[in-house]
Amino acid sequence: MSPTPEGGLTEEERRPLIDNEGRALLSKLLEDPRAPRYNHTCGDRLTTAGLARVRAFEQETAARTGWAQGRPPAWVAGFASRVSTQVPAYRRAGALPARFNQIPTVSRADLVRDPYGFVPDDHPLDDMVVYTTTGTGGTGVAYIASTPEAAASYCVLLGAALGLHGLALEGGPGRTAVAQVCWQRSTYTYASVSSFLDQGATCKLNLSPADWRAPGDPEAFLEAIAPEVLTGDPVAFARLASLDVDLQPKALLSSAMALLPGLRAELETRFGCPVIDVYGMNESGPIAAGLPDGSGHGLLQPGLYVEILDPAGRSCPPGERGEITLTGGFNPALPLLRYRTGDFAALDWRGGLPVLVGLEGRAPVHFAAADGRAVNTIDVSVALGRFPLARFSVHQAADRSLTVGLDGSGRAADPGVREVLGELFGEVPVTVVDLAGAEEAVSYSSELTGG
Amino acid sequence: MTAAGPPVEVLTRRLLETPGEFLAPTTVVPALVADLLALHGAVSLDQAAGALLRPLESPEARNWLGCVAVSSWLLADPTLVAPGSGERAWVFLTGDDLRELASLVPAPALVSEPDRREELARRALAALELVPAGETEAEAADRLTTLDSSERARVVAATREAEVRAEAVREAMHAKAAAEAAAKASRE
Amino acid sequence: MGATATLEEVREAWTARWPEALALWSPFTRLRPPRFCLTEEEEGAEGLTGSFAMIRLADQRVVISLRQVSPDLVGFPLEILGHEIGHHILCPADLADNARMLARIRLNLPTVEGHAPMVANLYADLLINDRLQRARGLDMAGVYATLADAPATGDADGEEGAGRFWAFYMRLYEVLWSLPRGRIARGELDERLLGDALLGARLVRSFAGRWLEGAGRFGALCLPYLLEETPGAEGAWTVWQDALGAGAGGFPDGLTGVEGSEGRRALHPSLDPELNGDLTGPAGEAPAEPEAGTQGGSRGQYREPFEYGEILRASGLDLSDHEVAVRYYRERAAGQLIPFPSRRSPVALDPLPEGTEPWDAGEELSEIDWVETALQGPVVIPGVTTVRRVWGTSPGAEPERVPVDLDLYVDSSGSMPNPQVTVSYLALAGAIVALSALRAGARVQATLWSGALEFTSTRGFVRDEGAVLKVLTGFFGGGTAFPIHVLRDTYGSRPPSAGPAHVLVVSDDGVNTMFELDEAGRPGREVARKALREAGGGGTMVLNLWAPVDKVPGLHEAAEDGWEIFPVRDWADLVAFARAFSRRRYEEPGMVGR
Repeated sequence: MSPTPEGGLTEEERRPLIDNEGRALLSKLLEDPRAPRYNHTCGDRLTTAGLARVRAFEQETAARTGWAQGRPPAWVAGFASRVSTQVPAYRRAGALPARFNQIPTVSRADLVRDPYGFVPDDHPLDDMVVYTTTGTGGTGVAYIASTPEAAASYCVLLGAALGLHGLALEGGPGRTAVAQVCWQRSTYTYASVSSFLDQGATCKLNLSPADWRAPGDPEAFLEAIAPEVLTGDPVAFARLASLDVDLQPKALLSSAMALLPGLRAELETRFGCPVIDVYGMNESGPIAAGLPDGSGHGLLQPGLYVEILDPAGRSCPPGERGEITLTGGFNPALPLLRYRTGDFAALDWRGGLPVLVGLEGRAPVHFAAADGRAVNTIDVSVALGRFPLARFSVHQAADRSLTVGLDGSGRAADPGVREVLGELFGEVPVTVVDLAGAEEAVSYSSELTGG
Repeated sequence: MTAAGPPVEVLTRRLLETPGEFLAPTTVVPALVADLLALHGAVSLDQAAGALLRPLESPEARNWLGCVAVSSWLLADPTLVAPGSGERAWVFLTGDDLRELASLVPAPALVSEPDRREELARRALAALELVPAGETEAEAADRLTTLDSSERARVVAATREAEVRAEAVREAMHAKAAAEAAAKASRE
Repeated sequence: MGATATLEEVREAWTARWPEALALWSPFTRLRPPRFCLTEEEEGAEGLTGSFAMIRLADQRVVISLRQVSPDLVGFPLEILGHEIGHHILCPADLADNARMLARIRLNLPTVEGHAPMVANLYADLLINDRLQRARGLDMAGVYATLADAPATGDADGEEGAGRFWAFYMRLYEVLWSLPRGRIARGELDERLLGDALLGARLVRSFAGRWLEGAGRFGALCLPYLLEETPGAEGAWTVWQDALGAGAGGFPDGLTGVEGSEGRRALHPSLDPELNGDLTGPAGEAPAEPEAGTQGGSRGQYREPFEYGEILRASGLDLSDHEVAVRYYRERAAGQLIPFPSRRSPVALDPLPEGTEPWDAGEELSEIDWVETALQGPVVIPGVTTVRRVWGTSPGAEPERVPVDLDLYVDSSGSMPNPQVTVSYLALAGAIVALSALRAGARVQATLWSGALEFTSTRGFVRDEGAVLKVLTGFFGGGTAFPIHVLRDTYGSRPPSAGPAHVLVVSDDGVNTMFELDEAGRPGREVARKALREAGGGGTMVLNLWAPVDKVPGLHEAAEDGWEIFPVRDWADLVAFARAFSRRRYEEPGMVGR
């Protein structure tokens, strides 16, 4: 990977509001002898006006508004009418129907096929930021248009998630506010300073040994920067917990995959702090965060309307599970109008505010043991997480036989992998094949249907 | 009332063979038109009508005169010349249709571009209330609509309007996807 | 002939028209007669699926299933035969142009690249059909009218997307051939669609003589339709997709390079001054033209391996990433071959037959000693029972130069780029040296390595180019542990008669794992030093280094031991390395350690 990315920004464009303290912190993160071999450069790109808007969004978010059961919030009608004329992908559906729930839904497949059609006609293209993500269900690469302000709003929403637990994201000069840890074969890594976090730093690190100069560096570096909070996925956190590293973060914010209660308890003991499950997706950013009592996920975004739909597209009554469907959002480059997430939960109301209950992450994959007992994908993640696998895939055929994809380094773990899969699945045939292709750390698929 | 006219190919062939002097800036258009009207059995051009065809300064007007000259050559084709058609020929040469065409098409294109040749031939036939040989009235009308320069300009403008923005969005998204992003604090 | 004709009768009738169909293109056209399939089995044997006709460029073949030609189409033998011949004569005509057309179209179908073969087929059809309809007076319109009226398409209205795209495509023919609106185009024809059809017709005419350049523009014209809706897998338009696998069985040369405007996205024809010219008025009041797209899948002059593979697959080739990589590096290295170091023999030689040794696939066939081979057993198995004569030397008149063998160690740990995805200048360096060695007559042993016990090798020193490249372009992506035992055993057991070998290590800063203890507990540095001495042809390290050589632990020692070290991170480094390497000479026996 080239250390000087194409289309590079000037330092002024990259970090318009960085000050001397911020610069000092950035140098420290970049030049520490134990620092990883960063492979990417990025800043917050926030201008004064942009920062003001992010602060306004923070105010709005702190107000915690919702909507009454069965009635969309007032802003939805105006939003729908605006995007149905301004956004090509929605305009194609023709005139807006009389009732909101008659508006056709869209899904990730639509976004993958025509990502351009989701950018509003009047959205300026100069400050656009584009992320590419590979899907979890083999749906291909999605281009997600966004803005620097939307990217900075992630910090607002992580703060809101902490708020549900009586905590706050403070940042401040000289402090690493957020360290995102990954455990992937390869991913972008960088260090950055956020003007929204008052010159506090954020960084993204990959625990994969290939990213570091010497063994022991990941542990030493993390201890040196002592992040205020850590973000990551459960697999990365499981890996982090296995390292001999002494950290006192305020909280761990887990995203990208569902967090199992067992792992959550283990991590809370290991790091002595709350471990908060944040549910979100690239298309929308963070949507909801686990409540302290574990009873559900509180919604985070003031301008995001959540519906729960059954397979026929009808609204589910409160308490009944269905597909989480989104309208609105904080990203002006990708306004969502009845966007089906592929994730499932029920809606419930607590103190007048909607709460997601029984959230089941990412396109539920149904695994079954030899005796027909359901096997949770997260159990598989946790079990295989014990091995030094950079990535793997597990596919279950209709006859319950398993095909496990391991890459070159993972082949050494083959016997152990078979053993733990045996413990989880019982007597099912296991075939190990070479893993090739996607960069996704973990991929699950199954020919079995739910039940 | 329409009568059978010559095949379109006869007229497009004639246009292709338009003598160069018809497109020369020095052409005296009123004289050409007067000759043509005489062929079609009309009385000679009166002064007021002649004044209409006087060269004017604006490029638009000059282009229109060029179109009138080319049309005069076309209407002089033996298959179109008929006694009593002078009035229709005059109306065509000075009417709105040809003015509109002139506003969209440079006069030399009426000779050099196959579609424009066919369009002018069909417009002339329609003005003379003739249907091209081998076609029904409906077929002729449909084909003229397809060739119609103003119609073409309109539908292509519709396409272009949509594509200017769509292309800019696509280009921007690909360029930005390759460029550096902004820091995001968690992954989804 | 009506629907009552038997298939055999149809075959006879169509076969009789073949010379006439060839003459449509040129009286000198030579093409083997088409293969007519009458049964499903015959179709299966030819690989004909999904359509009633197909062409194969590799063996210049036309295959037509008469069983699937609907009775209504039986009356169009010249139209259909002439069309298939057109694919061979006009577009895509050959494997390279087919691949380049696909490359251009793919680039203009972002996110829907998978439709490139279909769009390419439709584009080629336009060029062919327009020529046959207008210049040869065939009734191509009749073929499409028949397809449009076939009962299978009657209910296509429900399929909005396929309907709209197909309606656009059919309307394009109507414009080209002056057909009344609705003669073959079905469904609602809105203004956008009418405008696109006009532009498409103009494109076909303008680019008929340079159709490769028009291919990207046609892709851009189709893109909005394909973004809006995925065309259904059923319907009239799939029936005649005859060039989807045109490239199967063959292999286009020169495709790693990007030619001309191929690497740039084309403008949508409505924005292209070359196509919207006279439609914007005499004053040329065209709107501000955006710059022609600069975004390309590849920057610079060469494609990346993954893109190269995607194009090959789009042309109908069924290749794994690894097979694609072998082709890719072979082609890119082929243009860069260097004089491979040779070594003056200590004695002048005259050949003297001395005995036999195994002959390996890839070696000169003429070297096989067939008498000795026959004595090995009744069945000849190349590389197993085959033997070649070994020549000894007797003092002769002239000194002679002999190439040194090449012993290649390629690092494939996770820190190395995967050569099957993006171009690896290290793999390319390895390929250039290896192919240069083979060309000079040397033998090559290649070993791909990653973590402990993760390695794969050719079977000793071989002359099989494919085997060497296969090892060189493999990928483990695991840990890093230099296979010191392979290096040790290679020279521990090498007969003195084998001559010197040059050891080339392709790696990064992980190369210093070479100096760790071997499995017998001996220091790797000692083992390596001994092996290098025994190899006798010198040692080179080509390394992907970001730090200066003297800052990387272990490299100072390596240089002391006689390794010559070249950092190679990009093309410029690679060229410098190749130049320096080719200047080396191995004049003195035992030059290492000088």
